[in-house]
Amino acid sequence: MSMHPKDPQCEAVQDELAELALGTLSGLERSSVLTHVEVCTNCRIEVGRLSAVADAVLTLAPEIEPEAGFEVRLFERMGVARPRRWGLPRRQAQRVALAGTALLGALGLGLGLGLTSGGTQFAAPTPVVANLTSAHGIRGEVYVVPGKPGWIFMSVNHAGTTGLVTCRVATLRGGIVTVGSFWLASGTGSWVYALPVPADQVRTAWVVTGNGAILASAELNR
Amino acid sequence: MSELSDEALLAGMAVGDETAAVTFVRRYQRRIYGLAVSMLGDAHAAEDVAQEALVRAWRHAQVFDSRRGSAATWVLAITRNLAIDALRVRRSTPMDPVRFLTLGSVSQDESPEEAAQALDGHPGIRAALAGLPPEQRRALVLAVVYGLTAADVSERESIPLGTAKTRIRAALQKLRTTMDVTVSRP
Repeated sequence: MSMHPKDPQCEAVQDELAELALGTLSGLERSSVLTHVEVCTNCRIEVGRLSAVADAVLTLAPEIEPEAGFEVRLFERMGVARPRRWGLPRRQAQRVALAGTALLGALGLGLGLGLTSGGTQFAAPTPVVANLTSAHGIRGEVYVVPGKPGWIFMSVNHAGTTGLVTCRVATLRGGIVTVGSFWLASGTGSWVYALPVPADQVRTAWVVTGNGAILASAELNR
Repeated sequence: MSELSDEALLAGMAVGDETAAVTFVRRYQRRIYGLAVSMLGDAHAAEDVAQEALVRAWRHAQVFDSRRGSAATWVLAITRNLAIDALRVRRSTPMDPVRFLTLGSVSQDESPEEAAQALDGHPGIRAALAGLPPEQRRALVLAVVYGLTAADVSERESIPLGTAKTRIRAALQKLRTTMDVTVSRP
């Protein structure tokens, strides 16, 4: 199905659009098709849609448990401290960790969930999550995650403004710290930054507009 | 909400949070390894590819853009590209689209509801793939999963080049129609 079949240039590249989307077109064909796609909005959109289909097909891949030692070798390559587990079977340990994380999160507790074995400790991510709200309702959410470093993630939606906004946080000791700035496009944007203060010290987070008005805020209850 | 979303995990990885990386690995390693195994058919090579994909996700988490797709499709696409590179290095290895289809449990017996539940984000595409004519399904899997060009598919399937192109395109467009319908459904 062509996007606009009456255009002979578009019709001429329809088969190649599929291959372009799959990344299997090469050489002169690729160059020729790209030349058309760059100036044809409809064909560019079509390539994007076909690429999304190809990506979706990959999600059909089966889940297969890697062989023993996979994680050990992987974390060494990543340079990540190797977490050990309780003396529980792996799947069971995961379920316990997730359940513990879920419980603590549901209670709004910013406590680390320590899984220990053989003296090695692994603190699973235990974010404190709160809605960003304004007088008009929920405008997104904030995650404050302890770790090395601790970090904050803001996701803002339907905030009704476009432009640069600033994230500020208040600490339990009463200090106010500017963490950084990010861009909202049509009221939407997300942003992450390493916290300049300990994560467990963050009490309130604000999204502040360029003229100093508070667009939304979140109370990180603990 | 207590469990970090994929987007939040990648955001944490972008600033070097190791615990976010560990969680991400444990969430996706079986899918990534499963794709690599189904493409390569070799456990050792699949582990190499799966590990490299996860290392790249860790090192390049900051370039992930959720507006362009989900974390799952992003990391699976990385895996696919690495596996295709590995396949091209050992060109003599036969590629069997049936392996992906059977390992991936693309079943003709699933009800549409079961198929929809099996796939977060793309409900219905499993059933849609199963519903394609076999020759289109093979061509699509060879191109999407194994990275074969239309000329490769033509040679492998002993069909004219134009037929191979048409099969790939027709299969993709049928699946796209399914996704469009799914997305637009209230």
